[in-house]
Amino acid sequence: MKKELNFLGIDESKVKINPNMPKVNLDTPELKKHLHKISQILKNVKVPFESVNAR
Amino acid sequence: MEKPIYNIETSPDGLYHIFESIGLQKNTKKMVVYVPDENKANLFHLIFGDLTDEHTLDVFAISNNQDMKIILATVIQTLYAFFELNPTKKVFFTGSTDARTRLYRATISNLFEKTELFYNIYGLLDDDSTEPFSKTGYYKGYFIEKKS
Repeated sequence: MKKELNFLGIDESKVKINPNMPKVNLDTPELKKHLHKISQILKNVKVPFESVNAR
Repeated sequence: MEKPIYNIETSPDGLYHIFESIGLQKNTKKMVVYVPDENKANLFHLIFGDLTDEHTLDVFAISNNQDMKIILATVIQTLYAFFELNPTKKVFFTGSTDARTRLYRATISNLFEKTELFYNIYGLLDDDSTEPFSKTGYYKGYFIEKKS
């Protein structure tokens, strides 16, 4: 990643791993609505990556 | 010259990222979460919004901190951290509203332009087809993978 970040002009020191990140509740109506919208967008899309197969 | 970005705290699995948008009136905690798709293996959705006091994510929030470019550069930075920890996974990214997707397009295009050496990027067109990313393309979303 360091080579990529240098090429892109991004400071690697800006990213810190935090093992105690606060938990966030993703099970909200608003977020469900947004994720549903994304699912609908992708419903008929053939994803351009071979390893992404239907479960 | 370095692109200005905010400091990011990243979870060890690379799925959660927090940073703080600095504004004249107020600072706002932002969060980027990579959520696995329910139907497609290895595909994650990049979800981005304000981290609320109730520890939920408000994907429709408008903070008006006049720092959109820094925020978007920071969001893109989380992609590098995600792929560093999840190199075989793929990401889909779109705006939370059509207006926001349009707003993001130019900035995202500029930021993605230099990543072609390291990532395969595809744009999702209105007819649900995809094409390799082009700076002049008009996309409703982006698929991204790290080149092996």
